[in-house]
Amino acid sequence: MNEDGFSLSEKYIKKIILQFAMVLTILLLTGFFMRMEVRDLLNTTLEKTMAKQAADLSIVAEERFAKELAELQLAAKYLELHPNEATEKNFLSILKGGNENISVGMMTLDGKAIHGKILSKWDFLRFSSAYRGNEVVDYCAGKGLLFAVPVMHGGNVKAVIYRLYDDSLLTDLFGLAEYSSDLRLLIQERNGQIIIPYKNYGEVDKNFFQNPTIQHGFKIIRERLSTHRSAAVYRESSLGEFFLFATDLPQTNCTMVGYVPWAAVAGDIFRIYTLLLSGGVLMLIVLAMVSAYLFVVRTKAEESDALREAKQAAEDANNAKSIFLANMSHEIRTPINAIIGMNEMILRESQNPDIIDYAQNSSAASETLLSLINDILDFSKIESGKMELVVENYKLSEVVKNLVNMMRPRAEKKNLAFTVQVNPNTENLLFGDSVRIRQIVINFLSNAVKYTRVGSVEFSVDGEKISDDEINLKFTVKDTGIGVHEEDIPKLFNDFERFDAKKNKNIEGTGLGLAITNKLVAMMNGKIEVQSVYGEGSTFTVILPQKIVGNELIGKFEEKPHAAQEKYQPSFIAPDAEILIVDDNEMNLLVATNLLKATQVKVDTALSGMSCLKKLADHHYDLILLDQMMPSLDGVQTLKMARAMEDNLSKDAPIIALTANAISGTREKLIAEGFTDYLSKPIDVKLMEQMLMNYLPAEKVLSSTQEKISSAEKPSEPVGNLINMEKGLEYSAGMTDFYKEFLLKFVSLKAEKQKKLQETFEAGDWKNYTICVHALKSTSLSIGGEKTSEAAKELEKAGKILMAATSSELEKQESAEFINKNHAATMELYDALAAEAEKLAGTL
Amino acid sequence: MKFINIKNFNLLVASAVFLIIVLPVIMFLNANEEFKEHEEKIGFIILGDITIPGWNKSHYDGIKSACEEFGIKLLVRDNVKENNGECPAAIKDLADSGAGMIFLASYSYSIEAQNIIGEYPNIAFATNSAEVHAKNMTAYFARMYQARYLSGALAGMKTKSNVIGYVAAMSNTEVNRGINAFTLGVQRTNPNAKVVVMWTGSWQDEKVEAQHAERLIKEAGADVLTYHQDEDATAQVAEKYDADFIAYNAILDTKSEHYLTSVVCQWNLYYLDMIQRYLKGEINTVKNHWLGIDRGAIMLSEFSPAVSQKMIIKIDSLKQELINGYLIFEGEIYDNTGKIRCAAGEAISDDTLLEDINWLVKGVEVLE
Repeated sequence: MNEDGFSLSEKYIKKIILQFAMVLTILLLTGFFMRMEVRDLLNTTLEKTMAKQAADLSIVAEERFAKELAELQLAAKYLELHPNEATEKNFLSILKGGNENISVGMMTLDGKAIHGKILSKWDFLRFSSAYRGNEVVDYCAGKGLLFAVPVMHGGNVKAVIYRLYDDSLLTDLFGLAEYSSDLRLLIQERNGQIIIPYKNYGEVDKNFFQNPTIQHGFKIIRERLSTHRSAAVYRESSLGEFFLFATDLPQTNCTMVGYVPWAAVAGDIFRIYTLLLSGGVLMLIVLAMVSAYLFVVRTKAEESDALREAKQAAEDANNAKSIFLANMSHEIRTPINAIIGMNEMILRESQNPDIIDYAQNSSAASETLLSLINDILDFSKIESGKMELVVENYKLSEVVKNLVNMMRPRAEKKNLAFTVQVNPNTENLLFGDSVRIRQIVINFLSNAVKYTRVGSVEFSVDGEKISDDEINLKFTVKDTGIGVHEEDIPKLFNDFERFDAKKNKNIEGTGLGLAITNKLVAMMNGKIEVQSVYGEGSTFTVILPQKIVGNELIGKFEEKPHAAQEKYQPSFIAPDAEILIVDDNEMNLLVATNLLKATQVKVDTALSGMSCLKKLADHHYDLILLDQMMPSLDGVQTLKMARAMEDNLSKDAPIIALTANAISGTREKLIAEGFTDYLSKPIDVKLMEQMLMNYLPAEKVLSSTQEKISSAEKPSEPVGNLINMEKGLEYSAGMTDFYKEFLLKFVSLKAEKQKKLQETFEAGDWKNYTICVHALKSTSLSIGGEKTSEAAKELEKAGKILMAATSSELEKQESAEFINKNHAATMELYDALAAEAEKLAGTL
Repeated sequence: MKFINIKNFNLLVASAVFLIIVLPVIMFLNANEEFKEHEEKIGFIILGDITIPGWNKSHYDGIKSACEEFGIKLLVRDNVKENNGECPAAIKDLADSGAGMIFLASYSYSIEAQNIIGEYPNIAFATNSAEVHAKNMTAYFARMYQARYLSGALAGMKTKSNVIGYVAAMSNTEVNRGINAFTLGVQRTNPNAKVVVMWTGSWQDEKVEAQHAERLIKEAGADVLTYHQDEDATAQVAEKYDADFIAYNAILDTKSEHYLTSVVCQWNLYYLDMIQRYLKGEINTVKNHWLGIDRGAIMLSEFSPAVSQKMIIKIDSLKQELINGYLIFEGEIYDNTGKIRCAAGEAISDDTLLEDINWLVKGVEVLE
């Protein structure tokens, strides 16, 4: 998902740009629309303002006319009161003001002029209105602008005086151009004839008024004027943008008309709009940038969220895998334990050396498998953080002894010199997790053995006191093995890492060993040092701080003589004791039962908590081993019910938990639940025997040697020196009945076997003779007839030389002579052994 | 949704921005509607029923057509009697209804309402009476006397008995002006004829009007009648007695030959002019507004078949004189008491004609 996100980023950006372009387009359209709207609105508003302004200007124009009329009015009034011809003349000449272009006069009702020239009523249509007693302003093209007022006589009109201005004077006298430099004002008749043009009115202005757009504008104005005092319109013509306006002058037949360039009126206002617009655009850009930024941030946040989720998912998956591995390993351990247990039984019970050999191999393989599984389990535990150290007091000497005992056979098997050096001044009584320490050291030791073909493995133990109650325990393992490249050293402790894969393909292991070791050491606050020369060997040093809990030095390390094929001896026998083992796994029950066979304890089993409870009601047991984890009724529940059960015949019997969860605190927890103690699975025979010895009633526990001595004392007299009974018993797993059986079988088979030996000897059939001698060697040894066996072994050896193709004639002759010389003696020994065996069997 | 809606999100933002910007503009423009001119309403108050022919219907038809022309709403209050407080109440009512201009279409309304007119300075009042003046009131009238003059000329030509009866409501400037113009018209065509006037004392009183008309025929011997009343009782009486008659302010629904013509005013033209001036804000710039025959507002209706072609030509020529500026009340004019009212070479001014005619011209007799 994330990778998609990243790889698509280019496409993504394109998409974003496209979207922003769209948004921008919409914004631009909006802006355009707004600009239009605002401009329209502004122009509409300005049209109204202009119309009002025009109305105001019309008042100015009217005032000029009114002033003119007032002057005449005054004269008329004076003349009404002073009806005298001389006065009239004087007045009129004053009104004329000596201007050639001004005509004044006085006319009577009959159209005659008392003074001045006669005005035609056809030129000035409104003039007759003066005879009705009204003031008149009228215009006639070519004649000029006329002002007339009546001269009254009471309520009647006696005459009319007038003043007529020639066209040439009008602009100077009545022009309104000076009101604004941008404004062009003129006064025209309502029929369109211009009365008072503005200054410099010329061709250009004529063209302006004849422009179709402008004319159309004025047409609209005229329409509006029919119901309005004044009107203005905005026009965009080829000549530019203009406001046109007009207003009628009441009481006259005149209209004031004007225009003003758009910019002169709206320019300043529109600049405010432009200012606002640019501010808005700026804000939009900021908005766009902010949203772009937020978008990017959001995208990034989403990506990192996705990453985090993916990481979490991966971690979860890894954890799940670890948990799965842990569970699997645990599950696998159970059958392996069964295999190991069964092998153990075979080794104990079988008399057949071949089978014992097979079982030993099987056992070794099982151990290897188990250790692999344990590695995985440990690793999983570490991964899932469930690994815990189980700390306790321990003896360093025990640990070292154990390690040496374990490793020596392996080293010797590979013909490697294995030397052990222990500093005798090292503290012996320590506190720590001895099991894990052993695991750590075993790892280094087994690696040393594994990767060394020729040479030696040196193991040394030392301790460096760092305080009164703490030492740095130091284990050093030095080998002459294949070594490690220097650059690979840091990788040594990586998970699953193995070097020279091809070269080391025959070497078994998970590759987890050192990783686990490393982690365990880290958990103990210790450290690992590695020195290595590739091809020459390595030295691994582990330093672990450990608490001192006693005042004892380890002293000189004495290696216990190694007994490779040491036969198992039970640590006690308790023929009268009865115990119950409860486990839901039948195999486990079988193993446990068989492992306890040697102790002669009577074992009963139950496959579930329920059947356990039933058995407890029927029978008394001295001790109960109770599996903690079972379906339906688990260990703890079973325990509680058993304790609460009234008809429990084994109420006081100790109940020991069997648990696979051997982590720290388990013991305390189980004891708190009511268990007497616990045993961790897989069951360690020694630990189990120890547990039984501790908790079985003391009177029922007998020491195994005690029993052996008592049984050995009686037959010791008749027995000769040919049979080593101890050895014999060992081959019978210490069981005298087995041994007796062996002895009797040996005796019964003797006649037949001896006969065959004799026959082949006499016939010189060395091949079959050798086979017979070999059989004698084995069977003798199995009953403890060491001397006889030794003699047979010599004969077998000679026989083999005789048979071997590679042997020289001299060797063959010598061997033949040897056989001839010793055959009779061996036969005697055979007879004596059989007699002694028969005697011994009788005593057992 | 995280991934899918990114595109939608942007579109959403764009639309939101668009709306945020455009909506206020539209709202602003809508708000601007408030600044638009309010609807104009014209109020009209009249004495009688607007469905009855005569003064009432002719005025109503005129103002109705004028208002329709301008698309203005007309608020009518008819049957509003004079001198009993109904008129001021109607004014208040119309003002409350938003009338911008109120026509007081009966002679005495302005006198009755003169005190409250000042309380509505934003309303333009118009009255057909010139007797009361106010800043926000204009006297309006048509030069009916011009048509009276022409009808008088016709009556002068038609009378055989040289006695013409005139049923008039009361002696005021308007009625006197009409009688005088009519008489001057009669004297223009028939210097021997006289006009006998009878006062009814009311604009609408059929009974009295009929009685007076009858007396004018029977007692005074009039063979042509005219009248100055809101309705046509006089015409009916004249018809009854086979006398010729000239109707006033209405074109009567009769085919009688005695029905010579009607003195009529094109009130719609008149109201058009007035309302236009109101709309243009000019209504109060003149004290009086007087529309004349030159604009075609005043005329005589179709003549009776009894009116000869010669008479018609005469009347047409007189009409042309008027249009050309003949004032009627010009030159030497005496009243019926022998007092000179207008000297030779003079003319009676409009102001006087509107406000101050309290005399009757020479040649008028009043029958009590």
